[in-house]
Amino acid sequence: MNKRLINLLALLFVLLLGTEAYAENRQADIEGTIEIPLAGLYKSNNMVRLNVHLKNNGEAFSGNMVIKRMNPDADQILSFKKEVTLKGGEEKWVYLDVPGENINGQQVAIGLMQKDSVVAQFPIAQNGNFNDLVVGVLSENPEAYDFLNLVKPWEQRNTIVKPLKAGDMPEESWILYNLDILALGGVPKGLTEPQIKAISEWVQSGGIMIVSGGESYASAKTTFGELLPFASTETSPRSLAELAEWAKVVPPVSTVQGLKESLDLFHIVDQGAGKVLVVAYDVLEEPLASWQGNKEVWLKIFKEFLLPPLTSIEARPMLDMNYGITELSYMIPGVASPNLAFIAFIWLLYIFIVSPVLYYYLKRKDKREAAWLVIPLLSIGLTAGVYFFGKYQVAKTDAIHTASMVNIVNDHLAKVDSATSILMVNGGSYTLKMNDNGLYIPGNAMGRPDASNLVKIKENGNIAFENVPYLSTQLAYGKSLRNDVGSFETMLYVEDNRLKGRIQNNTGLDLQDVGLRMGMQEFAIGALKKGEQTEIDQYFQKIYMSLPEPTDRNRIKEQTRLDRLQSLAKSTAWEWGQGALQPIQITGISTVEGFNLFDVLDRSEVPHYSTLVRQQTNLTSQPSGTVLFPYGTLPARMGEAQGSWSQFDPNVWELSEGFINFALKVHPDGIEVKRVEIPLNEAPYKPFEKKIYNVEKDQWETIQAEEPLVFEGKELAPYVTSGGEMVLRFRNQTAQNIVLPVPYFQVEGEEKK
Amino acid sequence: MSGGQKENMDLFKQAHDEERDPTIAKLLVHLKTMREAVPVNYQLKKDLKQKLLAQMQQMGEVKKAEEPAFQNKSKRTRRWVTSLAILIAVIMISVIWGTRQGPAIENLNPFPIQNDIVDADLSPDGKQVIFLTRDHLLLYDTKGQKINSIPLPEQSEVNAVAYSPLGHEAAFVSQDQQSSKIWAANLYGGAKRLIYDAGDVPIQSLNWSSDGKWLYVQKAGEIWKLSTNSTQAVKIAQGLQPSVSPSGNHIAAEQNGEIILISEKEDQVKKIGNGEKPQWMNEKWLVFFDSAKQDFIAVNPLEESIEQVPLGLSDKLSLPRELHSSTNGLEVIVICQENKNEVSVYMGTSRWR
Repeated sequence: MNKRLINLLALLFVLLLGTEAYAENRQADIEGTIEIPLAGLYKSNNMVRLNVHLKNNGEAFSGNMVIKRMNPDADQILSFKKEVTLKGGEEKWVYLDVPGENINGQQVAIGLMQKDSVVAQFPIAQNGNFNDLVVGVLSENPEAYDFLNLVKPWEQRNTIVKPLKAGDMPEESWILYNLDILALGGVPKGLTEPQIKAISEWVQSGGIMIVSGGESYASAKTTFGELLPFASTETSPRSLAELAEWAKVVPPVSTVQGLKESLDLFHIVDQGAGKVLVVAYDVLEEPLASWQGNKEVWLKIFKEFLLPPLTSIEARPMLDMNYGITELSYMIPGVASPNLAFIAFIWLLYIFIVSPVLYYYLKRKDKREAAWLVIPLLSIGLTAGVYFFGKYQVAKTDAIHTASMVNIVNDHLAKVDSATSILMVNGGSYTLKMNDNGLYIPGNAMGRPDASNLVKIKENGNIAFENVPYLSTQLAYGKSLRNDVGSFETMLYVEDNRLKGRIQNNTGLDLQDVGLRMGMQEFAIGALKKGEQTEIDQYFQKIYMSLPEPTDRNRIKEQTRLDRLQSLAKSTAWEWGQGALQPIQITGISTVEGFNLFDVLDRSEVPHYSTLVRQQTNLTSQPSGTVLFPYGTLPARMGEAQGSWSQFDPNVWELSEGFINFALKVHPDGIEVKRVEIPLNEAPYKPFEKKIYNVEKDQWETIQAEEPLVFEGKELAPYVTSGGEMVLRFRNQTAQNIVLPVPYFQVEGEEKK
Repeated sequence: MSGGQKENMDLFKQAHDEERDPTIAKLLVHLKTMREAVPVNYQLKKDLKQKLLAQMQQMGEVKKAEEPAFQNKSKRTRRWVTSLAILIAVIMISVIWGTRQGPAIENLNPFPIQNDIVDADLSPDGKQVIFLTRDHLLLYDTKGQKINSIPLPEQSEVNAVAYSPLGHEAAFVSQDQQSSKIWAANLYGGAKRLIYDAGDVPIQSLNWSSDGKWLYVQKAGEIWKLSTNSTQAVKIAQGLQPSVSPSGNHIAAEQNGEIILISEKEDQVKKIGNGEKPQWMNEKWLVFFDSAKQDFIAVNPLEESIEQVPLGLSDKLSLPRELHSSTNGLEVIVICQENKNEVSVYMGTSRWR
């Protein structure tokens, strides 16, 4: 008996040893290190690239790379998988693009998985941020732009200034969206062509670049060429008196060497959807480099030049998914919902005909016990019939539908958001190949980034959907920059309250419906084929606020893809135009043509497209040479406010017992302003006491508005800030809540030569 | 029959038969004797008899059961068919009756709230009523439950109220010594916006276009349409109390005691008949007040020969003044002028051919 017990214990011990040995075998002998571009800077509301260096010291490995929590449940997967294979002794770089929110603020690691077990893991450093103002400094001097650490343009956002080396710069432009600003000062050598191209694309697609002038400018000009405004790197002595007057500070020196070609100390230019700010003098040069007054100077620069582009839609992080196009992509043409009447008919047929007949038949034959076999068989047969015939009622062929929102930046660059819905009738596994160096964003049906889906990224970057159920729609969302979209060519001006001129469709699409939007007014142009041109002559109204559209739920149900695209264009117009200095927004729609961000491999699916193309454009001069910016086309932003106020609508505020200031952009860039008219005598503004800020006298002046407020020639100068704005105050002293539309105005001028 | 009676009968029969023919009597006795002498299985006979009876009974019951079921079924079918036929007939008669009937206002009841009302309007969905009083806009549901109360600008008189087609705003006119203004109040947030300032020219009567972009008003003796979100103001014609059709194609107004129909696009004017305060009920029917008859008259002004249909409200209400309906035309309110400064409101339903 004792012997038996001893043998049993010995067997148990051996078994336990064996388990331990197996557990040890699960650990792979692979070393890994993780590098994040931009010296580890990333934003949690952006996509992040993790470059993982793997060195396999053991046997060949074939498995998946995942993001996993370090603790407490080491096997919990937070992200989609990426396929990895390593030969014995091999070392290589593997990258993984993940949503920043998946790795920020939690102890996470890159895990290597074999079957369902994690065999190696490498912790990811925590360096992300969400809300801070992040300035990357690309300079040979690691202390360049140090003074920006003192500048806090927003009270609740810290400023992070990070020195970057050439090796930190990515080759993909989307990675640069983890920065708010890129500051150049003595550009380091060693930047590669793809890195320079990525920076250039980022700026044109909405990035903000600051360039130091003076002696530093030469290296930046050599590297970025056409992206920078001044061709000459020649410098000359320049007085800082204007800086002292402008920023109300005393510079440590009275003159500096500044760029000869630059007329202003701070010169900002549009580059596509982005901005380039060139400082005429060298910010790296002492004593200005370590001057305490930099804080005031740069705070003013931020307020007047950089805050609007920093908050514009173009500067938004790349993780944002557009819900409108995601939802639209699910409207796959040729796919019908299962016919409820047909389903009900089958069900009733089974209950009222098949079942009773079967019962009576079996009873008559006195074989009721056969029901145990016949009924399940019949059910299986019916189910199989519904599956094989019913699924082709829903969709006859495999299909993909790509809904895209294309924002044209210029003739050769467009930002494209694409949501592709894939419906394979029989389901199964299939692979997508991404075109145009796009960025795949793992997303769910709600248009929110989500990593808990069926996707596996192959080693070559393709996206594999595995074991998808039949008739199950899968979503692939991506962003890309395209060079082949083309643009609208326009020559539009306002004369005698009419919008006149022409528009030509030079995009690559035949557009079924083209519209123009100026201020709060929309003009329908109609269909415009590729290369087609049309003349415009439309009456321009003085609209000061938009009206709500009636919502008809039945109508929403009946909406076609064209209707949806029109609604999408309308609903996103204000947000898109917010802060834009170009007053005309053009939208074009096609339900036939589009752009393929994803190709499905090894399948012959039918492609469908729903495409919304948008472009902002400027007004040109009338034949007489005058440029007229009519009412509601130039921006006005809300400033200081007191009392009880709220925003009712994008363009409408409500106010009682207090005031709201508005800054009106009366001096558009590149325009010599001759006349400004603000119709404060009109009904919506009558209930308010109105004042205007005299910048020269630094005081508020009351406006008696029986007539429109008009400034001509030099009358304007005392009221315009250095940022080209005029500030108005509207006060309502009563307790009655009164609606205040954002003040609208008209500016007349000539293009600066 | 008891055993004793049977024996008596047998004896009687025997005696009687012997008297007639003794041979027959003997034969019968012999047969009886013979029969009794044959051995019979009485138990089997009894069982067989019982089985036969039971089977006969069963067969009889089945027959009985089958016959009434069939009869019941046919009766039920007959009942169903008859009911269905009656129902169809009732529906057809109702439809024919309904189509033959002209427009009518029915089920009028006084609204529970009647204090200091200057003007009132019914919401486009017919579920709420807005009252303009001297110092407030009062929003009620049709059961008399108060929803909101919005204070009006101080030191001014008010004279007209009109629901916006989306039902979220109500326009009203306020008038002081210097100017006459049209405001629109958000009925849920309470904020007011100034739509139009007519200066010292009095504004009376408000009517929204169905898209909410225009207000048709009476400015002194003229009809104007005013944009509700821009500064556009267009004079239409001379006239009073304008009302625009849901499609926006026709404007009805009063001109020199006559109702006229103005077609803006075609620049045409058509005379409808004598009356005042025209109001479109839907794209087809126009109602106006005939002061001579002291009643509302419904007309289809787009037809070539215009038939005037009196709504007969003077029989039901005293001094009816205005009629407002919901967008679908099914619910109405009738405003009656009780005295110079006060009105009373009745709710009802309406029917339009």
